[in-house]
Amino acid sequence: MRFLYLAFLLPLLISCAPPPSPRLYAPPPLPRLSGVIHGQVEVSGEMVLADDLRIPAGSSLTFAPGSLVWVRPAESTKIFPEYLSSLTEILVYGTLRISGNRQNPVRFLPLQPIDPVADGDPLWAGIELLPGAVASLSGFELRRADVGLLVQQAEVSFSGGRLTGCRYGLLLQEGSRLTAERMDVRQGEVGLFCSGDAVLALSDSSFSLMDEEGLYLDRQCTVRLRQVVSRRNDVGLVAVDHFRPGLTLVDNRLPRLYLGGGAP
Amino acid sequence: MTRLLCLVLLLASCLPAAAETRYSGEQTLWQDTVWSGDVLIDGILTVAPGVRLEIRPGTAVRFTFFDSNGDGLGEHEIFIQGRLLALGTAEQPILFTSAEAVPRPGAWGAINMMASEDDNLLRHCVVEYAYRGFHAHFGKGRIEDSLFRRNLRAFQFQDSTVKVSRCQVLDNFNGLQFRDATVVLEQCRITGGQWAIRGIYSDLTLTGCLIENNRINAVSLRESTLVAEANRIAGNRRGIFLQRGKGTLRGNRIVGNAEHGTFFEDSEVILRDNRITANGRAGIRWLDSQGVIAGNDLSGNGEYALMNDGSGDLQVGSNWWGSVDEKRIDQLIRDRRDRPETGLVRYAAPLSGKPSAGTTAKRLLPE
Repeated sequence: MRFLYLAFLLPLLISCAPPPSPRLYAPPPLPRLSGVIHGQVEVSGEMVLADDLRIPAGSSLTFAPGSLVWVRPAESTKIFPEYLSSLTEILVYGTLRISGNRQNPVRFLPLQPIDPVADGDPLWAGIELLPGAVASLSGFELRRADVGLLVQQAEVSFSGGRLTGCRYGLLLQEGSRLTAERMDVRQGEVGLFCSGDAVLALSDSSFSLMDEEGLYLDRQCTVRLRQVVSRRNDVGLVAVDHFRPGLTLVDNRLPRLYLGGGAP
Repeated sequence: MTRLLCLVLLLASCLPAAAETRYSGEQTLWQDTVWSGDVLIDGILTVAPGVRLEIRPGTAVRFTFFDSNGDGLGEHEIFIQGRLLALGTAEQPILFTSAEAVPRPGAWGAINMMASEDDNLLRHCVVEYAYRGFHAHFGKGRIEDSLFRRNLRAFQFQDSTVKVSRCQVLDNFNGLQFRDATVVLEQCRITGGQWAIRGIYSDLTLTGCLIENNRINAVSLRESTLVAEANRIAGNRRGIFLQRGKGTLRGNRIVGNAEHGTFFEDSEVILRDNRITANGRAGIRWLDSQGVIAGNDLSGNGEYALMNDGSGDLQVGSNWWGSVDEKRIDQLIRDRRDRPETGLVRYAAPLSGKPSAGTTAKRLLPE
């Protein structure tokens, strides 16, 4: 009898006991990437680009397939002398490899800024490939940079990249040599800006929904295009000549503007 | 006689070579000091408040490389809290450089003016391979007839008053950056950097300067006042960008920049008698600004002579568009007729020929 009484009492006591305190879930902090890369470094997984990053000559940084880089917007207008922008940036004099692929792209996605930013304003500076840089970038996605990919006096190759909402998608300046294929550049101000004596071979790519030019090719820029589409931009193509084999212009407000000559 | 000569030669050979002045570690000059010959800074040297450092013509000041945090940037430098007079001559300039055999930009820190309210003066100096060549916080300085080359940043000022005259600013990673400063630049040449001039909350007077072949901006100012006269701004990616500021630009040549020659955003601008030609995208990009645009040569720009990207209408005076044909001029203007969300541009009767706009620049520019 006493046992039976106990058997009733025990569950009753348990049900009156305070609930166990919830287990705190503390995820490990994401690795932070910033400062100067020394030697040969390979990163993978999820990480935060917490501040400016510089890859000096002689060093290399490789992003493994599937890497996800959250870019933290800069909170100050300060620019240190060795950098180009007050926005968070990746500055490359050494070697940069992005080894994504269609199934496992490498993504650079900005975090939300603390202070509100106007629609369309860049949230970070982008990737800057400066004189002497070596870069091989494939299978990647990059959003809302000022200049998605800036190339100055460097010989680089891009493949399978998507640049969305960048003020400039690709910006090539003098001395650049770029081979690019399967690029999808959309929703910025200028898709491709090529100036100086840059040389570009571009294939199977698309530039669309730009507020200004899909492609801007200045007089000295040498461009070879194959199966490139400029679609639904304000101006499809700005160039000194109108004959660009390998380029299709679709649904742009103005298909072409000639440098110095206005619309045809 | 021969014996005497031998003795003199022997004695002369025993004399020590010209001594090098050397400062190691953290040191402070507490009394007025004069430098000549070779000076080695192997640490951080401070010139105390009220103390004057005078550097004689032909002096070479070298800084050793020291990098405590592995960022590749040198940290040895000089802080002036008193007064610096570095008065070289054209024949015997004063050299500030790295002590490294093969230096690179950023191999040493800076010539820092910190709360140095006295009138500091650098004349006929060569400053090279620094992190910041000349750096002033709450300082006052004049820099004349000097060469700043291969520094990461040639000049940086904050809360300072600085006048730079007849200087060459060549092949620095970037040229000048300043904030809350009053800056006068006259007859200087700034070339070969990422940007030439970048300022915020400042007053800049720019006269007779040549700013060319910089990879990003020639002049970029925010919430600042710009008075620019008789300058040549050519071959940069962008010419002049003024945001939320006031600008008066007269008699300048703004030519052959890869993007816009000028870009004014939320600004008050007087743009008279300038030659704004052969720029890649537009001669003038105008966004929610107000002011006067008259007497300019706006011919031969890449896409448009003038873009009105703001929502308000814009009335411009008589300018040279490269043509007097109204239909052709309309093609060179982008406004509400092209983009319904923007304002209209109305223009006065065009000039009938190329004006002499920008000719004062030729007279004043450095060789």
